[in-house]
Amino acid sequence: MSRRRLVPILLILPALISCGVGSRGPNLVVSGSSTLAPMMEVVLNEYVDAGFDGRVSLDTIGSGAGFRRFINGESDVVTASRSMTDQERRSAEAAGRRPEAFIVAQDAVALCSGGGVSGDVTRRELPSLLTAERWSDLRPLWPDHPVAKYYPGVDSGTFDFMVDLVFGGDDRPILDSAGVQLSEDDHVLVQGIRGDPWALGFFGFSYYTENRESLTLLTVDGSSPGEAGYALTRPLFLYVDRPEAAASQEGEPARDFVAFVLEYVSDGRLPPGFLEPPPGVLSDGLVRIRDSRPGGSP
Amino acid sequence: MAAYRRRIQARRRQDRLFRIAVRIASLIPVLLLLVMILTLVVRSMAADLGSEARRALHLTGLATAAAGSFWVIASGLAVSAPIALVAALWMAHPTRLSRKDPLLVGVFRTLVRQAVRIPNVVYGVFALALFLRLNALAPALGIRNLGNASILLGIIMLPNLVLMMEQELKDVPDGIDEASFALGASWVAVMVRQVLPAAAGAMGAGILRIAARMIGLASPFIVLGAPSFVSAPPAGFGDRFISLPVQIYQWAVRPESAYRGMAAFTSLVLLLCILLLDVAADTWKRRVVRRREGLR
Amino acid sequence: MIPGASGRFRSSTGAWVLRAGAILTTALLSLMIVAVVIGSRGFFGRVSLVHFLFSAEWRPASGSLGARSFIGASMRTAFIAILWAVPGSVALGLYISDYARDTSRQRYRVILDILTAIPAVVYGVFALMFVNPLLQTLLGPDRLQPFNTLSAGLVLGVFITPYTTALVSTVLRKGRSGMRTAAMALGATRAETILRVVLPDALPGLLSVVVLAFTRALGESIIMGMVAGSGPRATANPLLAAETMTGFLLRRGSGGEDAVFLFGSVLFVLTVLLYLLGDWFGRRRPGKELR
Repeated sequence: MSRRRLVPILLILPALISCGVGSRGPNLVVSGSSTLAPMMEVVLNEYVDAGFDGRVSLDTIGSGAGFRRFINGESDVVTASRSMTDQERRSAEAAGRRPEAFIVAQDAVALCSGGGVSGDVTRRELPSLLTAERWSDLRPLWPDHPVAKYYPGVDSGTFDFMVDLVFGGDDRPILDSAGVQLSEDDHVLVQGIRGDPWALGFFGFSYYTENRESLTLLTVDGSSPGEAGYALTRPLFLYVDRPEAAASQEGEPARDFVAFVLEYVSDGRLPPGFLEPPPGVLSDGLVRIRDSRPGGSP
Repeated sequence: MAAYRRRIQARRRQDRLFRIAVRIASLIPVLLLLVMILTLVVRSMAADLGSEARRALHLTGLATAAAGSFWVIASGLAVSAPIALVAALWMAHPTRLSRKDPLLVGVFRTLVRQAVRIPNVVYGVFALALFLRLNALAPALGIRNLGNASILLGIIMLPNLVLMMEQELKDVPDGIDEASFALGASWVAVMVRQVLPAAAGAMGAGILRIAARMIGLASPFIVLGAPSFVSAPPAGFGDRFISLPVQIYQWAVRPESAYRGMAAFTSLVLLLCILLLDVAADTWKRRVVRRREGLR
Repeated sequence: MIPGASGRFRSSTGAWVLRAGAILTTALLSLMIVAVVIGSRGFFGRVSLVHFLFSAEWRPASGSLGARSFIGASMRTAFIAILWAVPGSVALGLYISDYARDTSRQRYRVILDILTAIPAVVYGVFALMFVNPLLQTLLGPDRLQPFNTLSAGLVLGVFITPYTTALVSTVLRKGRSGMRTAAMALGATRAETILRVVLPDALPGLLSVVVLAFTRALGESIIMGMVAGSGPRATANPLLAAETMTGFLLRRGSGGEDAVFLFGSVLFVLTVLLYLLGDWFGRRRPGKELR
């Protein structure tokens, strides 16, 4: 009966068709910081457009989680808004990885409120601001409303950065304070802050620039992110295996990608909200990555 | 007399009011459904598909996610449908076979009935525990790839498939297996060569219905670990992938209206897929039933 | 005696093949349970269950895992959901069974079937794009936070309505129709029959429906993760953000830390127990005296 034979064929047809669609090249797995995520999305797409014949994927799970995935072998490249701790480095080396850091950009952490409060805070006030229960606790002239805190989660490099800078590495005051909502996804933080006039939060500068109309920036010691002398600036890293550790084919695409990113940034194509790294850092990174390529510098 | 009439009128009024109240209350779900679809349609407009750059980016994302969904469901079915079929054949057989094993029957039935109701997130947590442990033993297996996700989805579908298949096998008209027995066939021959083919059509429809439910499943994959984007559909079981509902979830939490618009648009696409699958399943099932009526 | 039908099966290998299917299914399903139990075993040694259930001190870094706020948030959203879904479902179920014409009854069944197929993500999107902004406009943005358990509960209620209606229909169908006809024969109006005969008769069944719906709502994760909030908060106020157990799993699940497996086990045990409780309620038949 020809009709009976037809049906199974019709069902398998889409499978056969889409068989050829997925690319068979190598997989490039990039994981880590949500601060770097907007830049990585742009650059990864450019990388694919520029002729990468494999599959790229990006996980936005926080710098800490990115390092963990590097250690257990799942990730080829880690994007991080903080550097690797000694303990993480030791675990990586114990697992056979040889992480090498490249600075690709600079970020200024933007301190934002939901619109109910604006103004300037001093560096000294930061600990009290971030743990205040009500806005008026910090400044009597500010409204007497509870502070709704939207902070990056414990895996986030931004979280680690602020805890180190403001609380000297002790994360208990910030975690114990009232009304904290945590998320490793900065988009969620932005959404929370812009919907609540009494909200307070912090994240990478690019998230502020993308959502400028609905967020209110709080200046620190009189300067804004991007200005020289802004206290909350930090480098953004890409971590990848050194060539001697890259035993398999996987090492090549990862280092190629890092080289691509460095060249991309050197060409002056940083996405909005990302700042230029200090002079010399990019060229130093480029030298290191090109030297390690089998053919030497192109 | 007048008091009596007044009482009757009061009761009639209560009846009418009650009827209206129930009517209104019953319309609310339909109304909400309409509001939901409308919201999605309106918000889809903001998807900014007009601009060339955005369109390429977002539609690629949609296509990649759709392919991912297809592959994970197909592989999941490939894993669990055979197992479910064999188990259902065992359970559904009308003669002594399963009665020889009352313990297994009891355990099996209870397990399957409870397993259907376990929340999907919990399956995700279970799978994460399993794959983390397995990966420690054999790193080549990976944790968050298409293969493992298919196994996860397969296990989620397994109880549903078993129940559906058992029901369809039982629904086959008795005349078929009775006639086969009358001709001296062994029960294996009966089940495999008569009852199963007779139930195959209905089972196919059932599989489509289960697939329709599974397309929308996102939480187990998110718990297992889903990327925020992938550039190409999966080509092998070690590849990372993303499915439609997970992609919607990733886009929906972004504050920019273009992404929310994409989330709304993709939701409509997802709903359309589900509707198509459901309609296909329904039509197929109806055709099977009609053909069976003809046999009587 | 016909050999095939006598029960002496000629191919016991065939029997074993089929039996293997059932064993394999059982094994796979149990494997998952075993995996998570082993995963959380190390944990249970370190933390007391009492502390976990009743303390609101959630500080994983210092080792204190008091999950009361998560449990409270889960309960709160599920409660709001059934508050909204159960009356609606009962009304819909009553309408379908008692008021609808036979033709439209079939159409309602079809619509309900379609509604059950709508995945939770879509409801989450709807919550973020419509329900939440609407509620914020109505209640004021400084009163209702952008993530809160009220919106989550409301949308969750809509999500479980089709499921609950199907349950209610089953309960009403299994009711003692004799009583209904008897009441109508005595001259009761339809409203009176329903209010005074059908519903009281169905009460144990409806109780079971409430428990089952509550459990279904409890297990839902996507809506929770998208709408309810992303940080623990011990409060009874539904206008504030508070993370539920399932929302936590969605947010932190892929990190694979102890708390994830702990919550997974707790949710598993809780939902299974509650479902069994609901089943038990549904099994008790009232008044065997009447026929």
